[in-house]
Amino acid sequence: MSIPIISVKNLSKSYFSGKSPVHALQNVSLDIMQGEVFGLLGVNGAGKTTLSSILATLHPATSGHVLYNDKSIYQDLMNYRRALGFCPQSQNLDTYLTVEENLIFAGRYFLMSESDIAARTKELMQQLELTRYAQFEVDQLSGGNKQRLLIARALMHRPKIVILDEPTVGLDPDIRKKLWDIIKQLKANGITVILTTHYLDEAEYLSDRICILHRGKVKLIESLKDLKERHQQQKLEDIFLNCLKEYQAHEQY
Amino acid sequence: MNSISANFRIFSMLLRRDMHVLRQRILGIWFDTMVILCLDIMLFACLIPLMGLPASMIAPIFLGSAIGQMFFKVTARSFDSIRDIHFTKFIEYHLTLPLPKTWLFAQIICSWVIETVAGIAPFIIIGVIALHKFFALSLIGWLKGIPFFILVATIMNMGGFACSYYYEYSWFMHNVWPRRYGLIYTLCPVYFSWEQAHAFSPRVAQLLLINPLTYCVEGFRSAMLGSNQFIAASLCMGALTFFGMISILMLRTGVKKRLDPV
Repeated sequence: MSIPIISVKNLSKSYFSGKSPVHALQNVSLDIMQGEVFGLLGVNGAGKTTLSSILATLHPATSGHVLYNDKSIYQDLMNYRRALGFCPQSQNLDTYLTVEENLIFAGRYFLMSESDIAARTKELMQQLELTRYAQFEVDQLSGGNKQRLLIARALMHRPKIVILDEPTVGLDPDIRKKLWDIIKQLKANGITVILTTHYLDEAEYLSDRICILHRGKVKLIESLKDLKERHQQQKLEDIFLNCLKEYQAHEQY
Repeated sequence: MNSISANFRIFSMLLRRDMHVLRQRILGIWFDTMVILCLDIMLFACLIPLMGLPASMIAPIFLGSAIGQMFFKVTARSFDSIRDIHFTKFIEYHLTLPLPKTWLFAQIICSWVIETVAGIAPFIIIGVIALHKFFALSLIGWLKGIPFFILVATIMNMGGFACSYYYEYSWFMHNVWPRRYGLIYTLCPVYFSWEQAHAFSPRVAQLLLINPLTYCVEGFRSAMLGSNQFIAASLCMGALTFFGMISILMLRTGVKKRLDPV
């Protein structure tokens, strides 16, 4: 677990909101190791979604580099995209297609063979308990099932890295728990998971390492075990709140 | 590694999806078109001649009205597009596919063009047959008219797509009809010819020349009817190419502003 699959070097992102500049990310540097679940935490506006969007190649960085296997992702963007599965915050599924068709077309966009698509669709629908909804329209699904389909779509082409941006937001506790098991399963299958969340219990249960972003800056990257030892706290929530107080006090000072 | 052939295959798969959806929707689209077609035929074959409109104007007005129908379909699609950019965000999924963005946007426009042509073309063919006494059927230039119709569909869809990216959401929702689409439609010679407008007032005719829809309507009439009463199809093609280039510039600026894609 010590080889970085993604390295972020001095990454900054600025844009204009109206006439005022927003510095969403400032000199962010971090390594994401192969096969780990990397939890990105932060309060609203910390820059989590901006960072995951840049890693998902939705937006370019203003400056800095993102390296995939030591090569800039922009040098071979399409190859990087083939290695990536992105599960965004908004449930942007294809509402004109059924559950099964959503997966079939996702496979086709990645140029998988039709026989592989059929097998993978069946496998994912079973794994994510979507088989009984195969012929359902997307709009007929519950929020939890939509989220499962979103994850299944991101996994369809067997990516090496999966970015999950707030995957359980607004879901019932039992569905959240089921999705956690799915994420655990991804890790067990050797997939690197970048998990953006502001649910601290979720980050604690799933993440190998935690990164706290605050006002676009990396404040902390540490394994959960080290973090608990250093702070002498048992719950990530307490650690996070202490850190937050510390950052805010520092800003006031 | 992303060869042109890989890009082309992904492009085809996206197109295949759109055609799959179009197959499901086409009956509804045709039904809507048929309703308009029946009303148009009743209007042009029966009612308008009763009001003293010369028979020679029925065919040009019908063809103009077909382009008007296309305009309505495209404007409706531009509303779908802007809602997607801001709410559904389906476009963001497409932007993470291993396909360069230029190919992606070309594919979207291509699908829109196919849908527009598939939705309107039967309207024109059936309408021409139904209104045969007003058309010199043997003189209709299908060979010129069909490619011109596809060109019009392409430029119009490019324009509609570009508008959905160029304007800010709330401005678009509140103002695009009264300040852009409505003006374009009202100031276009659907129910008269540009030449008649010129005879009425050269100033008004000059004003019509800044409207891209004028070239769509007049060029299509010229290509189909081959008459010199309309602005020549070749001239209209040149003007439409110019408007197409403006649409591409608007689209580039708009995409950068709204999506900021890689």
